[in-house]
Amino acid sequence: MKGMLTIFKKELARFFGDRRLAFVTIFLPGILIYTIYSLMGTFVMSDMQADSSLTPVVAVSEVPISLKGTLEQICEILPLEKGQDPQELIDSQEVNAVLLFPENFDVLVEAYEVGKGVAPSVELYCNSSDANSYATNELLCSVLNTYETALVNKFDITQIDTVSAEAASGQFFASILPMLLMTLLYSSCTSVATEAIAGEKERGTIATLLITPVSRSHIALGKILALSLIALLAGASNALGTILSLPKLMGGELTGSIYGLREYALLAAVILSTVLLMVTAISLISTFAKSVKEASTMTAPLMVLVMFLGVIGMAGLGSADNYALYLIPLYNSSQAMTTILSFGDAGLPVLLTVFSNILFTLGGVWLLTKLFHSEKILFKI
Amino acid sequence: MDKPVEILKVSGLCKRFKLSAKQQKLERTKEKYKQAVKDVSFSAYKGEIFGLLGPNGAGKTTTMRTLATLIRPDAGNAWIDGANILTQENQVRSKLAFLTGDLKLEQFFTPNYLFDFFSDLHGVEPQVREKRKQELFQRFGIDRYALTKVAELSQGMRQKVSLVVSIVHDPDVIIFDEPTNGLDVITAKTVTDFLLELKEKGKTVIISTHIFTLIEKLCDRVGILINGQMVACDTLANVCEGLSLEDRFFALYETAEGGKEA
Repeated sequence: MKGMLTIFKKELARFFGDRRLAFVTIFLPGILIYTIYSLMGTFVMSDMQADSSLTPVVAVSEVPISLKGTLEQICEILPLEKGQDPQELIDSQEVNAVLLFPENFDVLVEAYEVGKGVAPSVELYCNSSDANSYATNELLCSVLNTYETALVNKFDITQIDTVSAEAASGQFFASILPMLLMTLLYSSCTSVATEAIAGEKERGTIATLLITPVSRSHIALGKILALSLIALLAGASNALGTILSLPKLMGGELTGSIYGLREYALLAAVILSTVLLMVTAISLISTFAKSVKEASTMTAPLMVLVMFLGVIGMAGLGSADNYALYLIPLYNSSQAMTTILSFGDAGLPVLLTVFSNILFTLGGVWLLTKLFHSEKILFKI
Repeated sequence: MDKPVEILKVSGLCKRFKLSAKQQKLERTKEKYKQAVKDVSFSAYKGEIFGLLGPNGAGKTTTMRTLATLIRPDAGNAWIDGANILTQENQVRSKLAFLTGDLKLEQFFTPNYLFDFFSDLHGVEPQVREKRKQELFQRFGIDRYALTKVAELSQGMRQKVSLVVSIVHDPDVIIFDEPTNGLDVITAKTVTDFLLELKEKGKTVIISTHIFTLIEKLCDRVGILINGQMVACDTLANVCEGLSLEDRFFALYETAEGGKEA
């Protein structure tokens, strides 16, 4: 019993003696979960909220006198020309919603007897993927429902969502995949990169390599390339599993086939450059660690950063209007993925992202080479 | 008698390390730096075994690591077969083998793989490599374990594999830090016999140790390092001045320590 207690105390002393380990194991997960979930909540709410200063613009055909005053109070009314397609008007964002009243709506309502024949129908078009259109739809529904209730159900309201299945799928993938991909890629990178450098230091095999006539830059580069390939394979496997399972997650309603070769090629370019950058960053941090365990502890803040950036992508806070943001490493990857998956104009963002990631990777490799020359870091003397 | 050919020349080597707060506490000093090696100079000649003798912390390993280009000196220089350790690092590395008990092998790999791997790093031609592999594996009895993972080998066999993969490129200079440390008597004898064989082949061997008998058995010349300084360096007979190596060492040690206290 005494022996067991001694072992118990020794293990606790070992754990709490290492403040970083204790922080990362006990406090960091709590802080991480609180931060990420709070941010997700904030972002999701902000994403669903319409512009508060918005005066909805609604295209209306055959505005009935009975509702004209009410509608004019809550929105700007544009007459719907004959032959105009409601979906095109909404997609072009010229209007937030389209309201189609039948000709002589007031007369038809007056003449209609509940339960006899077909009730006059009002068609309300909106795009549920657009926050302003969705808010306008809610507002109009509220007005129409109140009027319908006042008239004792003497007309029907038909709501038509103009969002395409492709756009809906794209929006869903764009909201969830960047976060998943970034996290999965990071996990793959961290498992191999910490082992390859800190592991070699821990086992004492790094010195065996350093006394060969191979330059230290080549040793560093050789490691980075091999690790990137392994991480990429692992990341690709993870990503493939994720992409294939997503439609099942949505009850078979979604499919990755909505994307063409262009989207997949752009995504591959972003993933490849991101993996190179992640492996380099983790390798750099690992070089300072004496063991794999210490390296894992030291790279934990990077994991928090990657998850945070993934969450930003998940919230749809794209940086499409500010191309300079695509030069910020890791953040750019998450944003570029969001832009590609949501069928945005991704050409320039991807180009900037890949350029920035490769530039930072080269800088990291250069720094790693310098560290490989530092006896203090490699031998801890 | 032919004039000896100088293969290794060490001149005024100095190296100091910054002490962390923990190390300062451990060594009970307020000094920020520890002078590990102070103005060390010596030479080693073709076909001889040179021994660096000293207690723990004397600066033997630091000197060896500096010669192997693993660390850079703060001052001084050294040349191995004409190649400068400061400006021609890769040439130095291709001319020497550096072995130490601290040098480890990737346990996942087999001796066969590791031999090929290090041969590639040293640019050894495949035909030369195969011939040399066969020769060395047979010499050390590794051939039976050539395809066994290092993790599954005994400690003695691992040390033999470590020795063999360090000399894949048939270097002219072999630097061996504490060659028999942690070895059982059989493996230790295999290693010391091999060092004598290398000497016979005209190679230059530099060893560091704190074992007097090893120096007496193997070395033609010896350098005694105490507190980072070379206090004696000559042939074994000249250093001993008629005393046993052990007695001579302690006489030098007491003088050095006395001087330090004074």
